[in-house]
Parts: sequence; C-alpha cells; structure tokens
Amino acid sequence: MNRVAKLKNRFWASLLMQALAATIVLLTVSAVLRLGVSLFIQDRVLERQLELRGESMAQFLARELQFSLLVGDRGEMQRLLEDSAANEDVLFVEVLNPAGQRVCALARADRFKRIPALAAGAALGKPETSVRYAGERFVEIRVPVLAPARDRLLDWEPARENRSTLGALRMGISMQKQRTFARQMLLDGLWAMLFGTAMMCAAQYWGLRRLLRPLGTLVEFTNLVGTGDLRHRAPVDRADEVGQLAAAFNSMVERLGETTVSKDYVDNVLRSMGEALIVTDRAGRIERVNPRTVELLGYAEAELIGRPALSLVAEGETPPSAAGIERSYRARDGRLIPVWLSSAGLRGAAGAAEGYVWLAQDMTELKRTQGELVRARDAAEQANRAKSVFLANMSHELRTPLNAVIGYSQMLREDYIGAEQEEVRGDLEKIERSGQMLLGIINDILDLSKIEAGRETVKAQQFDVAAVLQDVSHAVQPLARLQGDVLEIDCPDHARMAYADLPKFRQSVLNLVNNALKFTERGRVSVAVNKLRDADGEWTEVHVSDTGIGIGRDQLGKLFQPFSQVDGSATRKYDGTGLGLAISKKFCQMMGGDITVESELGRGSRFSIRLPASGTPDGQALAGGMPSADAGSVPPAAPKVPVAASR
Amino acid sequence: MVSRRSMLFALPAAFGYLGLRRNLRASVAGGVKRVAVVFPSALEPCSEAVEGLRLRLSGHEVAVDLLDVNQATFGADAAQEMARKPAVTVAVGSDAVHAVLERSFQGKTVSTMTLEADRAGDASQAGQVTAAVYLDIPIRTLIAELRKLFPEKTRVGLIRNPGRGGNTASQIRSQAAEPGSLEIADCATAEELLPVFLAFRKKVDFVICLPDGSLYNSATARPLIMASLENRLPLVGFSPAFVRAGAAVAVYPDYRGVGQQTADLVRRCLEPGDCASWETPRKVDAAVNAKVLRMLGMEFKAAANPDLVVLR
Repeated sequence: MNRVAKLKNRFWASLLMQALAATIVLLTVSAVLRLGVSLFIQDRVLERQLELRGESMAQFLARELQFSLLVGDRGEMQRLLEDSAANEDVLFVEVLNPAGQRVCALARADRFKRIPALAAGAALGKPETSVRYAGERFVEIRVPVLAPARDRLLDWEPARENRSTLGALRMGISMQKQRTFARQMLLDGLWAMLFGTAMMCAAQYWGLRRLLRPLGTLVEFTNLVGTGDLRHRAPVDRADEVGQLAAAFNSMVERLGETTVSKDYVDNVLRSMGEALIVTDRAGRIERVNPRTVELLGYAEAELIGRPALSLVAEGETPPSAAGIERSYRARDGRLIPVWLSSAGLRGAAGAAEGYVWLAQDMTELKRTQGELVRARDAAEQANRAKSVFLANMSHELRTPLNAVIGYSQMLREDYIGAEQEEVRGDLEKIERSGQMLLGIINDILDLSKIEAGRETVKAQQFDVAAVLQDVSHAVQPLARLQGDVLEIDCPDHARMAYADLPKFRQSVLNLVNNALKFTERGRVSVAVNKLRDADGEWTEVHVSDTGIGIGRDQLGKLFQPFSQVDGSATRKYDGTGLGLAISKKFCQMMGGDITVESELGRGSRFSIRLPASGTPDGQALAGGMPSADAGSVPPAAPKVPVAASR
Repeated sequence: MVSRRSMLFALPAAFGYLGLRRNLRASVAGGVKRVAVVFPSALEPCSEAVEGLRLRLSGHEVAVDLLDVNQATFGADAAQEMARKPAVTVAVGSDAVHAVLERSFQGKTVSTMTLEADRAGDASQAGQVTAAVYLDIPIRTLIAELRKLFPEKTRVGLIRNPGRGGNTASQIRSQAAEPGSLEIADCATAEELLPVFLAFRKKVDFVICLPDGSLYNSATARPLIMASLENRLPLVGFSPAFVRAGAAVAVYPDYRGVGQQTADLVRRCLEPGDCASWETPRKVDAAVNAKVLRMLGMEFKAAANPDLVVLR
C-alpha cells in the first residue's frame, strides 16, 4: 500500500509521467475507437458485399433452375445445387415449390449439419436477404424462381410482366471468411495501434523530456532563489518559450535582488541584534525570536514559538506601543531580567495588521552601572562637602596666622627706616607681598569652598554700576599701566542702576577686567554696560572686551573650571590660581545670571556678564536682597584709563 | 424498350398517321372511308406491318387513323375514333386485338400479326373478327423454304402442341408436299419438350418448332438448343430471335408483306359484301445462324434466297 502511495505521489509529482499517461490513454482510446469504427464499417461493408455476392449467385442459380423446376427435373436441380455448393462459402441451398415445400436441398455436411427451417411468414415471391445464426453466422438469401418470359422468341408478342412463380431458392452463405478476415484485421489493427501508440509515446516522451528538462533546472534554480540565494542564474540556452521563461526568471531574480532584502540578510540582522526581538501573531503568540532572545531568557527557540508573549513579562501587561518602557522579562530559571521594552504593530505590504514586534534591551548591566554611579556620586558629593568644610575651616585657620605674618611684616618695615635698612625693608616687602598673594589665594579658595559647600549666600541690593566700574578702574589702574593698555568704560545712563549682590558683582567685574588687562599688552580693554529686555525679563549686561592673546576654541570649554588656565605655560607667564573665572561664573549663576565668552585666538576676547536687572529673571527680588539707601545716586562716567589685571 | 429498328418504322408510321389525319379532315366529307389501325408501336414487327399497310392503302380513298395502344392517351383516342365510326378497324398484334374487342368498334374488324391458335383459343374473337391475316406459315411453304436452303436435307420433324388447337397432325401432314418425309410429334407441356425433341434423333434432318410461347421460351430455349447442338439435330425456329438464341434456321413471315396483305384485305372489306377471310402470309423470310450451322456441320445455299438473313 505504501509503495502504491509512493508511486501515486511520484506520478502526481511528475508532469512527464502525467503527460505520458494522458497521451497513452488518449491515443489508446482514440485508436480503439477508430479501430472499432473501422472494423464495424468494414464488417458492414463485407457483410453487404457478401449479401450482394450471395444475391448474385442465388439469382444466377435461380435462372439456372428455371427450366429444371419448370420441367420438374430433380436430377438437374441436384446437379445445379452441387455446382453451386462447389463454392466453399455456400453452406446450404434449398429449392422450394410455390407452397414452400422442399423440392431439393443440399447442405455442407462438414460445417452445417441441418438446413434451418424457413422463417415463418416468409414470402417466396420476392427476394429477401437476412443474417441468421444457427451454429454458424450466415447470410440467408431467398429469391423466387419465376416462370420464363415468352417474349424472347416470339418477337411480335409483348413481354409479360406478371410472370408466375415456379418456386423459390434459399441459399446460406457462410460468414466464416468474413469473421476470419475481421479477426485478422482486428489483430493487425491492434498491432498497428500498439506500434503507433508506442511510437507516439516515444516521440511524446522525447519531446516532453526536452521541454521539461529545462523546467527541472528552473525548479532547482527557483529552490535556490527560495532559500535566499540570489546569486544563481538559470541557463538560457533556448530561444523558445522555455528559454524566454528562464530569461524572465533571471530578470525577476535580478530585480528581486535589487529590491528585496534577502532572508540571509534579515537573519544576519536578527542574529547581530543586541536587543531581544520577539515577533507575535495578532493573538500575541510568538512566531519568531532572534538568538539574543533565546540567550537572554534561557529558553530553546522551539519552546518559545507559539507561547503567549505576555507570559514572559513579569508585570503581565502588554507593552505600550512604540514608546519604550521599563519592564521585566521572566527567564526560564525564574530570574527577572530588567529590560527596556518597546512594541510596534507588524503590518504587511497591504497595511493589514499581522502581529506585533517586541524589542527588548537588557538593562541588567545598565542598572548595575547606574547603581554604582549613584553610589559613587553620593560618595563624591559627600567627599566634596567634607573637602569644602575642611577648606573653609582650614582657610580660616590659615588666614589668621597669615594676617599676623602680613601685619608683623608691615610693622617691621615701618621700624626699619634708613638707607642701611633698605635691604631689610625690601625683604620685608617681599614677605608682605607674598603674604598678600597667599591671602588672595586663600580667599579665592575660601570663596569657592563656601560656594560648593553651599554656605555662600546672595544679598541683593540696588547699586550704581558706574560707581562700581569706577572702583574697579581705580583698582586695576596699576596693572593697566604696567601692561601699557588703554581701559575704556562705557556706562550709559539707562543702564547705570542694577539690582544684585554688590560685592559679588564687583568681584566678578574686577576679575574679568583684571584678566583682560593681564592677557593684553599695549592693547585696548573696554567695559560696556547695557540693559535689554526679552521674553524672560529685563537684563543688565556688562561686556568686557580686549585685544589680547585670545583663547583657542578647544580651550573655551574648560575656561570656567576651577584651577584651570588656558595652558601650563600660561600659568608660568601669567600669575593666578585659575579660580577667578570659576568663582565669577558661580557668583553670576547664584545671582540668576551667567557669564559667557566669545574669543578668537590672537584677536582678543569678549566676556559678558548677564544678570537680571531686577534681581531675578522673572522680576522677583533675590532672597535676602534689599534695595540700597543710595539708590539713584549715580556717579559720573568713569574716564578711560589704562589698568592691569590677571586671568 | 423500343429498339432503333422499331423506331425506323415507328417514326414514319407516326408521321403518316399525322398526315393522314390532316387529309382525313379534308377528304372525309367527300366520301373517303375511314380505317382505324390499332397497333403497338413498341413492337418492331407490328410497326413494320403497319408501315406496309399504310403504304398499300395510300392512294385510295381511305383515311387511315393510327391508334397506338402503347400510348397513354390510347383510351381517349380510341373513344374519339369510335365516335368517327370507322368502316374497318385493323388490330395489329394480339394486344391490339384485345383492345379493339374490348371496345366494340363499329364496322368490320380485321386482325393481323396474330397466330391462328390464339384465335382458336380466344372464344371472344370468334364472332367479332371479320377477317384475319395470321402469322402461321403453312407447312408446305416452310418445308419449301428449307429445301431451298438445304436441298439435301429432306426429313423434317415437327413438334405440335395439341393443347393450342389448330390443325391436327393429319391435316398438317396433308398440307405437306411430301408427307412421307414429315414426322409429327405432340408435346403439350415444357416438361415433355426435351424428350419429344430427343425422340427425333436420327429420324429427321430438322425439327420444326411452331410458334408457341408456352413451349418455347427463355427457360426452355437454352436446354433445347443445347440438346440440338449435342445431338446435332438442327432446330428450325419461327423468328429471328430464335436464330439469335441458337436455332440453326428460322422461317418467318415478312412482316411488311403481312401489312400489305392486310391492306388488301381491308380494301376488300371496305367494299360492300362479305369479306371474311383467314389468310396466311404470302411471303416469308428466312434467317440462318452460320455459327450454329458450322457446329452442326451443315452448309446452306445462300444464293437460293437473296433476302436470307445470315447471322455470323
């Protein structure tokens, strides 16, 4: 049964076998039909020929019998019958009188035992032919034997049509030869049919094979294409329809290669993905996963296929579409894996929904790193706070003996008067100056520490910017003179009044101007004040521009970091701790503003302080700030004087 | 089937028939006597006789109306002719005789081209036929014709059918010029024909077959002729057809002569008074089958009869 089924499968899988079978069936049916029709027609023709021959023989014999029947010559009749029986096809002959009684008869004893009886109701006066069967199929012919005509010899007498009947002659003609001939014809026809069918089948087989072999190649080629291998091309070695089909296939594969991502490519992408990918059907059952998913969850791929995707989510909720959300996958061993999960609908080419695609990013390492960072940050912040407290405490503790050093050095310098004391006084002056520098450094560190420790507060007040700038101008005048710079201050009336922490403002402006002078030699430093309004409120801007050495673009980012100068060499050339800009920026930020810088190496710099004109950007007063008593008293604009500064 | 020869006679007869009818209209009023001739145009001998009849009557004050029994319009023609009351009606052949006797033509009826035995066998003819020219050839004439062709052959046998009436054997013998040389045998049926014929073997030089359709037909002719050839006993037939079938010689009436003879009889009948007359052919023809004669080892004198028809 299995073998039969295999054969059946092979048959239905082979176009060649089907076509051959169809050809054999059609040819056989056609040949059998043609043979049958031909034999039938031939049989009818032979039968009719036999009838005609028999009728002719019977008519002839009837004429021969005319005289002997007329004269009652039985011997002559018998002789005539024997003569007729010499024909081997004649089975029997019988002469009847007008009453239908046998006058004389002869039967071929070797083949025909008994003469069949005359059919009931048979008329003797007219010829009749019929096919009968009595042991052997035969044609029975019955013809009347008419009385002789008188007109043959009496030529003056007319012919008489109504001649009397002398009797009848029955003759049986065997159809044996016809049967034999028909049988031989059948055999010959069958052989011819078999030969013809075999030849046709061979021709058909050859033709079909020639036609189908390229199709087989095309099938192999199509299978290769089906596996995603688009490199192969079908051989085009014929110009007929099959060749055209192969060419069309090649063209299609080329277009396919141009327009379609191959399966390998997709598999490679999926395999290379660091994220876990799950594709579900519309019911949420898993249809496909990538290797990362298998690796992440610890399941075999087969275990995941068909499983509800939601069962993998610890929260048991459907992930929101597109936007990512933090969820936990439940691994095979029960472990919860934090993932960043996003979902999207999977749509076919026609736009119909076919399922969902889940993309999950393993957050285990991220979470661990994040925790470590938080812990490190917390530790750093705590250490920073401790450092600031330490520095604040230490600065205070340092300033006290340092003030003593400076004070005593001043006192000693006043005590050593005279030319002989000049050398000692110079030394004392160096001690005092170094002390002052050290005190400045300590103050800066103290300020920065206080800011970072959150112990610095802002006390806003209204003040005259021009006055502040005047003070700054006086302070930096020695430096400007030293550097050979020209200091220009421009403070229009509408911008003179500001509301901020005055000491911090003054220190910030002083730092900027000091820096500008320090990095500009025989150049120009200008300070310009402006007031403007935007969507966030009214602002006071102070721009400090110089024509100095400028700052490189790569240095601008770390300009405001503590203990930072543009480069190491600069540190040695120009004095300073590098804390001034950092402190100034912190001060401005504490006042609700900021400091920005624009610079180009070799062409100078432009520092801008931007503070809210009314204390805060939205117009509210800063905490602890109070309007000053001398508000509205604006000093005259500062003259343009050369000053010096440090950066 | 109408043969070409019959057409040769039939067409002039038909033209003559039309011409006579035209003349009839012009001359009947002037005392021209009307003669109706009923004949079968399909039979060549009868047409030949009608031609002889017509020619013999032409030139006399006789209007001849030809009525063809083979024509489909014969019934109507006959009725029309009866209305004209012909003085004499001539029936040519047995079919014409029957047709005329069925219709009771007025005037005298003359039959021709029939056998006397037929008249004897047909009672209806007895009182209706006024006169006749039979085809029966007198035995004297017959033997004389044979003697002319075969002078050495003197013994003659004759088969007579007693059932047909006619002359008795003694009457026939009395008619013969040399009665001693004539053997007569009776044969009433076809079954007896061959034995009767074979009984003449070595007794006679010829066996004469008198016209008789019941004895001599297509069935009996062949065995009879075969017997004739096998026994070298020549048959003397009564028609050219018989000679063609295998008889050695045939003596038969001259049909045109029969027609002329009938015309003479008609003229007599047109005259007042009795014209009853039963005549036999005045002139006969003879035909020989040269092939059969050769087979029989006989020779004939062709010069004896210039009108002799020789079939080779």
